[in-house]
Amino acid sequence: MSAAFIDFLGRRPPPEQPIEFPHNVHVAKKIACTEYCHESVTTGPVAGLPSVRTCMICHDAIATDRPRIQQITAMRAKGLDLAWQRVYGYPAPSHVKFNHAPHIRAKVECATCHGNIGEQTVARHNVDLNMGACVTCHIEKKASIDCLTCHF
Amino acid sequence: MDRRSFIKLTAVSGTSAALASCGNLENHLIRFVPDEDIVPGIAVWKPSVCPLCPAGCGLSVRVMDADADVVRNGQAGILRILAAKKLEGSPAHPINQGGLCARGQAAIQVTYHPDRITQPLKRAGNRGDGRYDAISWDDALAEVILRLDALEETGDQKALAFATRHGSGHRAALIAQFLGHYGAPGPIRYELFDDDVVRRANALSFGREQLPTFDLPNTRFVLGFGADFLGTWNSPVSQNHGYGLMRQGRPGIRGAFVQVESRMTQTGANADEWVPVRPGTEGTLALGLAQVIISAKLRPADAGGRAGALIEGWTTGLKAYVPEQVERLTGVAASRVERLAHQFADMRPAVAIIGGPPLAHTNGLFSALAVNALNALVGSVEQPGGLFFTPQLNLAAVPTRQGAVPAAPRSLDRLAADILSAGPSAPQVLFIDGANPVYTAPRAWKVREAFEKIPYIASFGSFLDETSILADLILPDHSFLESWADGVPESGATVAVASVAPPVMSPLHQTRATVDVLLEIGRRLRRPLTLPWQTFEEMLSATFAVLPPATKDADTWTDAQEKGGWWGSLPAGLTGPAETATLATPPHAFTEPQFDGDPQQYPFHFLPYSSSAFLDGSLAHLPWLQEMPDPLTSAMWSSWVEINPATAERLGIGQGDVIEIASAHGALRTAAMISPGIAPDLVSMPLGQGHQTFTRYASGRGENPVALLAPMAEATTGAFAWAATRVRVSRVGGPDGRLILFAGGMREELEHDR
Repeated sequence: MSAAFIDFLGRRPPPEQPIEFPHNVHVAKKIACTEYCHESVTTGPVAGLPSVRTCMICHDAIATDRPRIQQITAMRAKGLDLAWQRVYGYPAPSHVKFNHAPHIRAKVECATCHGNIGEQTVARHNVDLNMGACVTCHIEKKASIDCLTCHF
Repeated sequence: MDRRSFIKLTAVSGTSAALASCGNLENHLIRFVPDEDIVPGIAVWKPSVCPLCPAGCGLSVRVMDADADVVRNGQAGILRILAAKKLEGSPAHPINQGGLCARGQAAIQVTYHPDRITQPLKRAGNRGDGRYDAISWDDALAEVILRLDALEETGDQKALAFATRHGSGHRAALIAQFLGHYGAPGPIRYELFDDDVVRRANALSFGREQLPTFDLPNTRFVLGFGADFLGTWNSPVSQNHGYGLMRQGRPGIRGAFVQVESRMTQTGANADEWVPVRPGTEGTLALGLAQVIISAKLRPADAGGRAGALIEGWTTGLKAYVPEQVERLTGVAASRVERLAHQFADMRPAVAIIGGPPLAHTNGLFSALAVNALNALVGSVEQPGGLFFTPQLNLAAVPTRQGAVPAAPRSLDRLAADILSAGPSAPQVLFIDGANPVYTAPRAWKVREAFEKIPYIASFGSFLDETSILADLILPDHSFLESWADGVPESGATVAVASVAPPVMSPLHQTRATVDVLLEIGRRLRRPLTLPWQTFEEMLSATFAVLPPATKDADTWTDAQEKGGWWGSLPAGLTGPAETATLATPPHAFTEPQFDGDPQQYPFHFLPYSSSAFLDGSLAHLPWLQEMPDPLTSAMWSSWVEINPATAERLGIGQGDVIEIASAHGALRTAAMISPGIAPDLVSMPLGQGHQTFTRYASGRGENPVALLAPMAEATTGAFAWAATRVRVSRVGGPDGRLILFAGGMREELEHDR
């Protein structure tokens, strides 16, 4: 019943990821989010969730003795990809379009909208993004607050 | 069950269904590793070529990431792919210049159709019952090769027949080369709404066996003879673009347009003046105009030149076509003939366009020659504002090509007759590539009965239709978005055009490009064919390598792939078939059109026409086109017969009533559509519905007017005269909901002063 209620409110159910991805380990190793795993964030509207192929660029050689790495190596051998689930995202009725690339160009920190990912293992939805948050930031940064900037 | 418990049960089951669907489905999905690197959320536009009609419009395809349901190693899952999402007209393409018709917009549904054949199939049941087993490509190709080798061993290569549609690009050239090298006759090209009569007439009048291109933007006056040039005929998007410029593209000048026809087409509905004529007398009216122009000394008779000389009595002033005589034959008032003649001669430049029904009578060639002579008389041939012939790239002149031109094929009706008489020339193996003659050929030709007797049939089509369901083996082609697309348009531009585009997306299913399958079969035969290319791509690049580049340092092949084609001036030696020499034919005179059926018993002329949505029925499987309201009647998802209001009243027929139409060859029942835009002695029906087998959207829907058609032929060319059948009409019952209208019927506003 609670799932139905959350769905009715337009909230996404908490994601269940295919493996427990430790963000903290990767951020601590100074692997830049926007250069390796979510690289389309700088060029397009969507940050993108990495394919198992992306993981294997490094993990063909690094940490190959860890069980989770062995798990994804086995997946790739079978031609299976990681069915990542999105953590953030708007419910359809809000009719809003978000484009990452201009925010990256305006040097908005990832943490502004996604919390301190570097302290999390699996990413959690821990910043509530509503229209108020968007508009406040747009005013602060002197970005357009025309309706059509986001609702088009 | 009482009412109360029913409601309770509904509430309970509804809630549990809602709950079941609320869980996050993504948890249960299996994802496969994508084959390509994809940037999510970014659309790119790639060129392609619309394959739905021979016009060959250039496309811009919006391509973006998408999740596709696929099965890999027996496991169902999701694969991230780059997928075509939307088709638009390519702004740079000289044919359509950014435009695209509704049919072209719907072409995207070909690729994602739920009833597309996804892998090779082998017949499991009896012919025609549609039961097939999956088979691997290796086994399927081995089977075809075995059949062709068997013919070759007995020296019987001529027993391979290939049925296809009209086409002028590399695909058609490759098929011809395959057949020529193997030793089989050329492909049988059958189209119901063919334009061979126009081509023949243009060969006789102007030395070009080709459909014309009209310079509408620069013309002042257009006189149409039955040609639905804004709807379905020739190159509709190009002609619509030109028509718009003719009407509104020049400040202070609005070109005039008069349409002559016996049933109002979508094009006729746009005309300033609509002139109904008796079916089959359009040529007489054209010569009536020429007679007035010559006798009033508006133009000298010798301006008609070669085209005029083909008309009997041209040099002596066309005495047989004085306005009073024309009124008697055509039903158009003599005063109107004179007025139209003066308009046509005075408003320069003016052009006459003939196509469609006038040519589908037994005297069709005469009508086309008459209109050609009229155009020549006013100096509208190869002149601004007149008609042109698009320079043709001659694929046979491309150097890598080697001889081996296949022998001329039989016509479809001759082929069927040969098979049924079990003659020695009956084919043993038939390949079908996209043609559906069982649906579009008159029943009297017995195409289905004949094909059933052919020992082995292989089809390359992507859908099961009335013809391909007879196949023993189905080798499904890629969709046009998944394969190399090409086209060499016959008309629609004043410069030479060769369209080409690489695949827009990876294949969704286990299909293979038919052109590459033919090349592979050719290589693997016991005596391999010496075709000069390994792949279709090689064949294309060989052609584009000899075309001149746009700038000095550019590479034509790379450029063409980016732009979606090459257009410009052809170098000498690559231009299309040379002018045909003047053929010694006796001058042509009007002969009464012949009609099948006794006028007493069958009092109405019957006119099938190319539907705005489905053309000849080959697009009825696309649901967007099924739900597209017909531009004149607003009917959708159904069949109808158009009938004049006065005739309907006399027969006691109301809008939507079920009526029976019967000819000497067949009968059908469908809904009546009361239409003021049709002559009182004519009934008319769009083609496209009445498929027995053609996907879930078209099968068993409506009626096929071809079932009524008599096997009449144009007297000189032998082309199928599809407008030469008479029918009778009777009311069967009231409306039963089979006619689906988007809006009301058609309004009639009479102008009494004409």
